Amino acid sequence: MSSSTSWVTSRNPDANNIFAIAGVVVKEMYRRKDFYVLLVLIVLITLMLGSVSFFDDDRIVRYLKDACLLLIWLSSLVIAITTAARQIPAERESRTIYPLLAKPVGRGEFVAGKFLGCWVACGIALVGFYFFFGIMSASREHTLPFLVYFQAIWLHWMCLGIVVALVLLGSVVFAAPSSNATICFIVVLGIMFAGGHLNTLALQMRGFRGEVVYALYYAIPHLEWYDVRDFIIHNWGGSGLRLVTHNIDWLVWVGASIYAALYTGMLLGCTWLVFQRRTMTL
Amino acid sequence: MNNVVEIHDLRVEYRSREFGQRSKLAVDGLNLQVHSGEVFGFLGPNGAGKTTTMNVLLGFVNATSGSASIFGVDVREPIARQRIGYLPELTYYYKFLNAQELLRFYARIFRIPRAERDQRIDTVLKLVELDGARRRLIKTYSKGMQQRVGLAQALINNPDLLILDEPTSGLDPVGRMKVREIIQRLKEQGKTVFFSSHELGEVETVCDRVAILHEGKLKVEGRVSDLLQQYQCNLENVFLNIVGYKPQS
Amino acid sequence: MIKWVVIFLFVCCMALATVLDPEFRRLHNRDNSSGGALAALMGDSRLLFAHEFFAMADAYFHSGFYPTIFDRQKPGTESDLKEESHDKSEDAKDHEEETSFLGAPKDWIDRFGRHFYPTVHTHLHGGDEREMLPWLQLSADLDPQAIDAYVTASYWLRTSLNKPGEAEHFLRQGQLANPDSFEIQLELGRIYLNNYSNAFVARNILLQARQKWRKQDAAGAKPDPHTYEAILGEIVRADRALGNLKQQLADMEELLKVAHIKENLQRQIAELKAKLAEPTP
Repeated sequence: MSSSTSWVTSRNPDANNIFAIAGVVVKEMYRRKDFYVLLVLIVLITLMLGSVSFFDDDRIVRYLKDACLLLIWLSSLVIAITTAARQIPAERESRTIYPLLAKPVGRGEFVAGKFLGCWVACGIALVGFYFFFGIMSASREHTLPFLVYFQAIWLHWMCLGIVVALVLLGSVVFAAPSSNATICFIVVLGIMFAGGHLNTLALQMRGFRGEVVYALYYAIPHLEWYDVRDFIIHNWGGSGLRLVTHNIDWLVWVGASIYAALYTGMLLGCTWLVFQRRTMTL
Repeated sequence: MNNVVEIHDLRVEYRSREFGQRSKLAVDGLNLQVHSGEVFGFLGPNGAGKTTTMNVLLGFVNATSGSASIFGVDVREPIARQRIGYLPELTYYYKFLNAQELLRFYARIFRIPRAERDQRIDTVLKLVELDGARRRLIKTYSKGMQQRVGLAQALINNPDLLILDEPTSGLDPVGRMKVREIIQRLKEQGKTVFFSSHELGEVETVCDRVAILHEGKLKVEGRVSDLLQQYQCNLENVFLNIVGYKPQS
Repeated sequence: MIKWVVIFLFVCCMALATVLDPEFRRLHNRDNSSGGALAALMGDSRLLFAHEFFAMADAYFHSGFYPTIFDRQKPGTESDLKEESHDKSEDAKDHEEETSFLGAPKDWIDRFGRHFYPTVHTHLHGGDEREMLPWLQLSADLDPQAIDAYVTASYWLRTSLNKPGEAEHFLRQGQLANPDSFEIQLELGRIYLNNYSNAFVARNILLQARQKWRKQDAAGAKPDPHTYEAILGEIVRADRALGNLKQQLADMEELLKVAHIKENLQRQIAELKAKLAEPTP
């Protein structure tokens, strides 16, 4: 037998494989045009809105921040969902999953690598989006409440972590990436819009139905927490001199991050369990 | 002689997803050994159980019963795949990467140190004659080049065992010749090659030993030269004879 | 050959379109002149958006502390933007209680979730009221009959932002779309009275407002009596500014008929009568 594998060490299920797989996903993101198209769209729409004069007052800025942040949220969700939804199906379709899993890569590492790649890619996209937002808002307001922006970007990113994990789970459950993406989009937007109000609805209902809705309220990931646009739009973080300084409590911020991490971990665990049971037939 | 691959009483059943349908027996009590340094041809008509056996060896499918090991390690352990290289049939590698980046990615999985990694990439790209196209995106490659980049990824860890699933499938005669030459060179380097193919002429030229599977069962296993002598015909006729094909004349 | 066939088919399509288009317009009762681009593009959904944008202005007024559609079903959560713009003297504490739509947290998720959106009742001030204006403009653009949007925007423009010219211009736009609106007329009168200090023109405008209100009342449209009281009040102020005491007395007596708080007004009428009774030197 050849003894040519001198650098082959005993395999330890560690981060190396996860990082390697994630690296490919990140490379895919910056070599595809999606991110650039969305960034250009955000910039164009924001600049277009910014060029509109309302009552000859050039100090009006919040509507612009509002629109820009809305576009950023939508774009980030589009990137997160479409990137995550195509990962595993594309690997199967192009059959690259077979040479990859024929290497010393566990399925758990594969799922974790895909997740990390998508999540980091979303993070990079967010930095790009918020960089533009920061410049736009600072140029009009002449101030940059860095801490609030940092909290907001971080929470946004944590939210996308949950979304990516959810979509990855969907991609091993549903056959077609398009149906998975559509379902996940509806679920995510539904949670963000109504998730926090299910308790109110549950209390208005009577009996078993109310209990089911309340159980659902506890079970769903509360993505709406991570949307703190109002703090940025209305300068609750202390932009300018007249405004109230009101950061999100750091303990709460840590708590929300832990909640997101736990939820993401749980979803990834489910993905791994389902994926582990999938027979990979050529 | 060291056994690189050992399969004992392997049985694989696929359960049907449709209600009321019986499960399908893909491999039935297969026993097989592949020795170190040999080129082993794994033959059989479509649906014979070749790919299922390969899937078990690669950890894609769990055996219903029996066992399989590579270098003495149970195939269910990912570590069993540390010293193997695998070339699947017709794979479309990441089109947004170039050959060099693709190989760097796979090399990283094997934890090959950076200096050695670049050297290894150079070696395999020269071997598969893609050195000149290493910085071109894979999406611009021809089918033959795609297959050769696949072979390069299978060789990136300098494996002791190569599992090739129909490596010449879909290639033109020149492409086939090139792949065959590469297999010959690997054999000369003392690598063990386990490959499936429908090109029996190619198998006859390249392989030391073959196994012929039919309906999930091992029908024959032995040295190519012994089989040719025993049946007094070429490998194609041996194959047809074993699978029970009778020409209408 | 194929190329000429394609061109011929294209010309036929265009010719047919010129014939069929007027027929379809007639069929759907549409004509080119009505509605404008937004109406054509959005249909009646623009009214929904207009309403939502007005609510958005209200949300901005409260710096994001605003009930969602789920909270709006509860009592005491009506928009207070308009009322706020007309009655600043309202007791702040009462108002806060009235609009504290959140209530006590129902569970830990609710309690924790309240850290992620504004939960303090504040109002824009010091010129920041300008931030509401884009939404009011959009609301009016989408629904030109949304009188509240004109009146509210005008109020903030003339009071906080010192832009009576912009306010007047916006109201004039509203007037074109709503020629019978006494609310817009009242707001316009206030600009002339308070910002331009032109009591004469203001009085004329306010008299028109009164006339429009009466016209609607006579038609059985049940116009808002508070606005009528406000119109009469502003007319009295204009009279006072013009120094026309007889006219002021007559208008005050008319105001007395509809006034909610009469004591002070009665006292003022008595004082004015006494003043008029005094012999002129």
